[in-house]
Amino acid sequence: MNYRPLLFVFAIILALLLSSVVHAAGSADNIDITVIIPDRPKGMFEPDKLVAGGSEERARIVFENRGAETATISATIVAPDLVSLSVPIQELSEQITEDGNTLTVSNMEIAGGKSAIVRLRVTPPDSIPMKTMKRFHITAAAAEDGSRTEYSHRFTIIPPPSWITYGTILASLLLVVIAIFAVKRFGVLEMFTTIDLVTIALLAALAGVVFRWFWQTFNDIFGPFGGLLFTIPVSALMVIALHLVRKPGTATLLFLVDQLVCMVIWGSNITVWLGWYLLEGAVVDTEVALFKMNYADTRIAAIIYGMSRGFIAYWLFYFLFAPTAWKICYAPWYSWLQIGLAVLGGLIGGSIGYDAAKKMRGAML
Amino acid sequence: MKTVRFHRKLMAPVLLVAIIMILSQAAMAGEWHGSGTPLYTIASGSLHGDVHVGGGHGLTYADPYIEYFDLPGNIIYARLYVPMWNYNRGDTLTVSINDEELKTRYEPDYIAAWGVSCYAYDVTGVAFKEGLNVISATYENNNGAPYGIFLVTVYENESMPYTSFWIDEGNYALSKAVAGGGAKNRGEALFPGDVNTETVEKADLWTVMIAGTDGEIDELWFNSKLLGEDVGRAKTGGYLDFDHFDVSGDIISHNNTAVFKRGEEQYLHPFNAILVLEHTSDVKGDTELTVYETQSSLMSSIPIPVIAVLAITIIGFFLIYTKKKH
Repeated sequence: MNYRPLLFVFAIILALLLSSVVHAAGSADNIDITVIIPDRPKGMFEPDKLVAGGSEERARIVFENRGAETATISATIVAPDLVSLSVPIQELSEQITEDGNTLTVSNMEIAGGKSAIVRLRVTPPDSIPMKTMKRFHITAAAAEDGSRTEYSHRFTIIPPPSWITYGTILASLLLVVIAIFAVKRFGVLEMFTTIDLVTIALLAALAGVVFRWFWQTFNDIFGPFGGLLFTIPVSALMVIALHLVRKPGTATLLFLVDQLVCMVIWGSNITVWLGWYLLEGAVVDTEVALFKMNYADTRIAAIIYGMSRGFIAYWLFYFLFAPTAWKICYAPWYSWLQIGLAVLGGLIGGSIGYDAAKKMRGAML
Repeated sequence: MKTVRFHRKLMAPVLLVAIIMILSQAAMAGEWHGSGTPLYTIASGSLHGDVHVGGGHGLTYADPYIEYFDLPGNIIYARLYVPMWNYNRGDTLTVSINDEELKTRYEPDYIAAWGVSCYAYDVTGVAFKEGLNVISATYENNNGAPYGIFLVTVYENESMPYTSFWIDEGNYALSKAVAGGGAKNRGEALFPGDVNTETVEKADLWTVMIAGTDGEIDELWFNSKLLGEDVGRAKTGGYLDFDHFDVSGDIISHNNTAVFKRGEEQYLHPFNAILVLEHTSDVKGDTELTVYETQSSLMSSIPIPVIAVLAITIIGFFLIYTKKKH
């Protein structure tokens, strides 16, 4: 009887069994490595993005054992030179040694289906000339079978886009100055009267003092829609100002006074936020000129002004000012949700402002 | 008839004010809380041993917010702080120390400005382990989160030098806001009492500040010595500055004081200052610990500028109305 085929089959089965036995022992092949940087909730903040000049951020490296057996893992974590690395107190403190930007974690015993977490402090560089991609290189080795696994995690460091921010603002302000100069040249511009200035001051005070307080006090009640408590009244007041004052530059002046009032009353940081406020006014004033000096005289114009103010203000905040002033990158979906809400607030506020302005103008005249 | 129409015209602004008043009582969410509580001494004493001060790590919105502490044994007094952004009525904070859950808190001890708050706990009775301890904070706070977790522990060790300490806490909003009752440019942390400067071998000062901004120059002084400029610059994580200074040569014999100067900062909230003096080996003494009463403040009100602008608006509407009638 020829036993060779039977032996062959038996050999294959034995080989398969042995390989599974080998695999059942702790192996680096079963280790899944994940890097979470910055260690913030993923939904709201953009993962794998740091802003140069930003604060120290926490990062988390997770070693997950997908196998069934306990694995004893030693790991080497190499961070790029561009960031500075340190290690906070943690469960694995005694197993971590630090040598510059290289960490060695020895003998992490990770049971099957469990994880070990290494926590890091990562400080981005003070400044950086351009957007730069860097990597964490992680090597994990299992003591049981000497197997190794390597993982490379890419993250981005962006410069705080201050020059873009202020360049954009400067350009828009120049545009408004040129527009005002051109209008004045043709003798159309009337100077702001005392009544105009009092009206603007009162509306700016309502926006900067009363409605800011109202928004800060009650926005939490409305959860993600809390921003509407600010965008609706601000858009409405802006439309009222345009309709009552009826001068080129009204919106810019309104937001300038608003910010000055906020600085005095609430101690707001005018150096950071002035450009942000002025630009939304400048955009609306430009639109007024484009619509042939339509000072929110039609509902559609009032709504367009409100919506564009909401869009430009929130787009600027989430994509330029948050990274610049707060060194934070919000997740794109969250940013666009907030921009959408601001546009909605502008739509509602513009319409309310139009109705209110019509009645007020009627009362004043 | 005229009176009825007059009342109708006035109805809208009066109704607005009334709604604001009613809602402000009902909601109290993230409203203006004034300048808060100047720093004061919550505990002081002397013993053979030392004081361990640790914590971190800035506003991250992580929930639970976790911080690890490597602690000594023989702790005789422990004070835990969870500074929190955006306290609102209805928010909760539950702290667990090594899986031992502390009673859920519904109100912070200190609050200032737009809801910058701090929950303080006397955790002397908690079973800390010698070595690694984990403290986690879970919270319900729409738009808010912890700035950090800090732990100050006083521990006895007969083999260690005689040590004196002062633990100061509070939450004082230094700002130029008129709504805060006028600009607040300077805050002090007093470490009251006499010190025999000749026996002081080493002196350490720890400070915790919130809301410092990089590039806006503030100053931190200890007695007459400038310890640093732009100390508040969010270097320990988002909005947080946790610093240690060696002030060995700067101790005076009476009422040592740390001074926080706002300088160019728009806002700066000093939260803690802890002074620890290590005496020379020939100084011996008993353990002395004095714990003072908490000076909590939960003041909130409608700021005067808000009322003033509303009043001006109502008067303005009234004038427009009367002008139109004539």
